[in-house]
Amino acid sequence: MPTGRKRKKRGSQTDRKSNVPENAWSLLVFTLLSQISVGAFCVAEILNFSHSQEFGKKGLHFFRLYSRLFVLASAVLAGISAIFHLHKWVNAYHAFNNFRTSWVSKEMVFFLLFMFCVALLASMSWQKIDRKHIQQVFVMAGLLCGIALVYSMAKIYMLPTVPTWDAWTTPGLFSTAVLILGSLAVACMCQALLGSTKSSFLTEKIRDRWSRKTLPALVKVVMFFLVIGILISGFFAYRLMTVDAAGSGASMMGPGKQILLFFRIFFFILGWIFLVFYLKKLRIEEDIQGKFRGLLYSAFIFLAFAEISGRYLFYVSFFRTGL
Amino acid sequence: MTKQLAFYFDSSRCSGCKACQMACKDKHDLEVGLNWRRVYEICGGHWENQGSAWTPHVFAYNLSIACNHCAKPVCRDVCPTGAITKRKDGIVLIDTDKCMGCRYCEWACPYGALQFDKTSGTMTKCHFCYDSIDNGKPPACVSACPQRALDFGELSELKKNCHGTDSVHPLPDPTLTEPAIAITPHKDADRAKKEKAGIANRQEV
Repeated sequence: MPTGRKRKKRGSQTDRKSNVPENAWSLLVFTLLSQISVGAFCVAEILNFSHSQEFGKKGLHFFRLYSRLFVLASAVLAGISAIFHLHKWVNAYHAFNNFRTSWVSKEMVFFLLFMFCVALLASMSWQKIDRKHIQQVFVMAGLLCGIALVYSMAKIYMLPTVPTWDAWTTPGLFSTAVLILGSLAVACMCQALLGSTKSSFLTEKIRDRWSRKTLPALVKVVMFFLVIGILISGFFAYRLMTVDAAGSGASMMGPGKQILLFFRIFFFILGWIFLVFYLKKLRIEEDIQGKFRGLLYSAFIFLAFAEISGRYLFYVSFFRTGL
Repeated sequence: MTKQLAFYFDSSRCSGCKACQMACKDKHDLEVGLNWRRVYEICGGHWENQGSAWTPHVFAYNLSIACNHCAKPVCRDVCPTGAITKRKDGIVLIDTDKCMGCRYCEWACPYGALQFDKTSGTMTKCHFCYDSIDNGKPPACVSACPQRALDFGELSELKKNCHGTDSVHPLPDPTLTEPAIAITPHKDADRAKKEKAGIANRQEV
């Protein structure tokens, strides 16, 4: 006879084998923000190094300060969101214990070292301490830690027991996200400074330089890596269709995943179109007041959406081999 | 040679009564959804229609699987906190005081041995009833099996004496983790592999 009592839901096999990880949003925010911060740091420091003469002393100081503060803020937010992924966060300090074999430990160590380098550089810029050699050492250390962080992040997912992730497409997807979002974040920051009324430190010469050369160059870098990103997404989808992860010959590319792939490609193309319009506008008239910033910001939002849908596609493609 | 304790399972003897599963749950007071030992039911085959008669060509067998206390425990290697360790006798243990509940080991283990306990927020798994072992007693699942399909002992001796294998359908490739398990396969295990037979009680385990 039915008792009317509700039965507690059992932990089914699907919980353990083919679901999006619990608290996926925190993993997603951590990955995206840390990738943006690493990409923005690399691009901004390369610009600092290559354009130091043209930026002028004052312009260079503010560019360094704002870019480093932006990178630091992204990294701190990423770190905070990562905590929400843990179920017993009071034990989080143990996360560095297994540096020898665990890629999660390596990721955490490189993440903290990267944050330390960025925080030090940002405070040096804030305090106007212009020790060139010390800055160069920490910029190099930050770059190396950032690259190691992204590599560790990709290696975490390349488990031999998860055939859908254990392929070159995983580091491919992660590095294109770093380069696309990082370059575009720096471009947006430059554009925001051009449009800001408080950026009186930017001389006509710097504004002209940014508008004619720096911004178009950054946007072209983004567009190049967008093409690479679309190609890698295609290879990833092809892998999902062909890999026999379940051992049953069934395709891993179901309708839900097809929709996510469609959204990723759609937002990539939308972002691309906005970037093309932006470049055309810049060619027609110089943008020393930053009036075309809406186009660039929209492109950033579309490409962030593309990365979010791509990351969800990545998570839902999880399938562990075996039982 | 270092010692490696292992489970032995005779698939041809197992009736699928799940006494081992229940003994484990009972001893360790495991919550609903947590099954350190699980009995998988593998079914396959077809029915042949000849006129008005149907001839069965079906098969079914069981696999009772817990943590295999692997020689190359991938869970230990991927755990960032170092909470998973391997004892001198080969038993793989989790220190819940170190585990931070990131559930990464759950992704890595191809046997589904690592299970998340929502109450404590940490991972749990079979620990070979090390308290009983240390007192010279067998693990709860081994004691409970009415068919004597489960046993335990030193891996090399089990493999030698029982001609056990660690590669039975649908277990994963043993080279991934080198599981410490010796199984006497059911007579239809080869056929199940050829026909890619599935797990019938997926929702249950």
